[in-house]
Amino acid sequence: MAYLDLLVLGATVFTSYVSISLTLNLEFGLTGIPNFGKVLFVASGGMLGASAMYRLSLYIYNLHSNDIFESSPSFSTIIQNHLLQQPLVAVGLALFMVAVGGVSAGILGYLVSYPARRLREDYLGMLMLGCGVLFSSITAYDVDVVGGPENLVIPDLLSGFGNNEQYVILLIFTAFAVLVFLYSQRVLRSPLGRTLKAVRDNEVASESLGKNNVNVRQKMLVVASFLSGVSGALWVLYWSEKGGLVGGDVAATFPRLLFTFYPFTIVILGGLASNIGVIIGSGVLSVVYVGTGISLPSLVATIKIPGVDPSLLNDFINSLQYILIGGLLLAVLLTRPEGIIKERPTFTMSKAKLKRMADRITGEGDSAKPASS
Amino acid sequence: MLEAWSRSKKRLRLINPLIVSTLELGGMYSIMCIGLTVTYQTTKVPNFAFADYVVMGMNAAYFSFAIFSLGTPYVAIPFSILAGGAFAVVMYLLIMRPMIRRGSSIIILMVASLAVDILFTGIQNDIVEIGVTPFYNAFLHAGFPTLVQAPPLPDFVIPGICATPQTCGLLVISPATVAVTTALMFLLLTRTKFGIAMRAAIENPGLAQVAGINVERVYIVSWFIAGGLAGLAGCLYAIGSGMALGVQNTLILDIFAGSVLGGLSSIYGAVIGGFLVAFGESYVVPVLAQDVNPQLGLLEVGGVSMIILIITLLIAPRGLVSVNWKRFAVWRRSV
Repeated sequence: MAYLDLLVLGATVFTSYVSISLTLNLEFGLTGIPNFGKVLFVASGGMLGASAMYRLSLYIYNLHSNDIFESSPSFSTIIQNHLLQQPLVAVGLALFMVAVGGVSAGILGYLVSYPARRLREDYLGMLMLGCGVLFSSITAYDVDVVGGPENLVIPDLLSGFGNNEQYVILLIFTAFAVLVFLYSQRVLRSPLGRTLKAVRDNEVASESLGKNNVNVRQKMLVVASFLSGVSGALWVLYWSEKGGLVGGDVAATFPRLLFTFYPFTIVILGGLASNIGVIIGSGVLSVVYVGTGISLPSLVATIKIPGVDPSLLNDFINSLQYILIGGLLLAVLLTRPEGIIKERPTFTMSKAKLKRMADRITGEGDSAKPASS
Repeated sequence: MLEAWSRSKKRLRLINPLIVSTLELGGMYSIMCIGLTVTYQTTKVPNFAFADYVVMGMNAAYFSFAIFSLGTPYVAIPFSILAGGAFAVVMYLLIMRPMIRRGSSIIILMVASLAVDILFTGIQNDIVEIGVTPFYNAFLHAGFPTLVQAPPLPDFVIPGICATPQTCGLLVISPATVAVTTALMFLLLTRTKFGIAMRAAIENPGLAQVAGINVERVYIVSWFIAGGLAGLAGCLYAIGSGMALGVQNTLILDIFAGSVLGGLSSIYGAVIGGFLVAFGESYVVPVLAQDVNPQLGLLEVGGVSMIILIITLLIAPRGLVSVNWKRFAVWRRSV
């Protein structure tokens, strides 16, 4: 049974990484925006969505307190009990959270893209990285958004499903990942995808062909931010099922390792601008995550070494993840920089159709040749 | 007794502690910004692993102070310089050079430096968590309060200048180090053959190579200089504020902000940028937090540097150095 739980958890993490990394692939792999602050958009979606949802549910059930975050554990159980009787409200709240998360991340993406419009890629990377760190440190200490050090215990919205809840969450995650995958695949194969690659590879050339590089980047950043905000809100849905906190303990809810470095490793491992590569990379990295992030700590927790603090060992394993991810990323960059799936020219139509067209054209050319000469 | 003490305190005219910390921190940031400017000039890549060289310098300071039982931590400066410089050179030789030769884009090089940062963070956390803290405790005979924060190294005291005797010598040493560093860099770049070769290699590597300059060696030496400066700043930082786990994450923002404000091209710009970021962080923010709203104190952790970075990138993306200051002078005269 424990293995089944682990499998479901792995699958949930996998689908979550697929959707987040696909949006990073849109920004970084296709358009060339070095979004080193990915965690900003995922975490803002999750945290602002959770905060808004919590406040709305307080309003619905008429709960009042001087410090809504301090009393969030008791309020959450009250809300949860109410929601068990009113499943429609629960679904509505979940949708509201996801919508607020996506929109607020999209707005943040627009705000970040405004100074980013005119910047070269190196300055852009610095700016993004800084915004990500800034957001984490502000939400960790500011008491107004998600409670800061007091944390926010959010109600488990889908608790009505009982034991099947984790499967429902997995289903939602999978559906969203499939949607994002279809969208990314569509972008990759459309004229827009080729425009994005042109913007990435040669700005001067794309500008000379009449493309507005700045607008293209900005739009892509907003769209990708919206999608990652939705992923963040969904992650909160999953997190609330696990009974996790949202708030000052950002390091636990939205760590930079999991939401910036993992997606980057996935995209680079899978191969730039390759959606299939992202899926392969997500598979590899979710195994790493489940192995070193979940299994190993729980395994170590059972081992008692005399004279060694168990929390010390836990931290040790947590840092081991950094070594693994950094080493993997460096190894890929040094030995196989193109990733598992090498980038190839994409075709908007199927190869068979292209071949038919080519045949028709050459056939016409052959028949036209004698007539003209 | 107490009255006499307070009277003597008044007579000595203490310097405002905010100004003390601004000067101390400004000196450290300036040295770091000079280092980052040097790496940026040589390889044209914003080096996200730069703050790790600083942490390496801190490690070296703590280790050498503990092992050799040095009287004052300032003796550890050469070890810190060596450690930071060695780290930078190893990173350049093992990671940056092969990738630059292969013709990787700037974004990929940035990701590589970020990967080094992640790797180093993991190693550093593990070493500090498992190895270093017990080691420090054993050698310094002083139990560290937590595992994630090492206390500042003991500084010497200049009586009657500052209220916090713990980091008093740094008030003089830190700006003095900046002055010495800037002067040495100026002499190196303008008065020595190697410095001129370095400028040539930075300006136009191909032409420099044709002229018989060993560009590779120049790059390696520049990376050593950059890393050594970071290590030096790290030693000062360990004396001034101690070492916290993950300090590199916020430190890199301050370094970037100061360097971008300085223009990422000039040593003097880097010095000014470093001092301005330190001024914002340890003077403006505490004053605002005290007078306006205590919530503003949050900005100290990376907030000020991000605001400075964003404003600089919006108004003068090429930094303070690129601003045509004469224009303002003319305007003032006409008014």
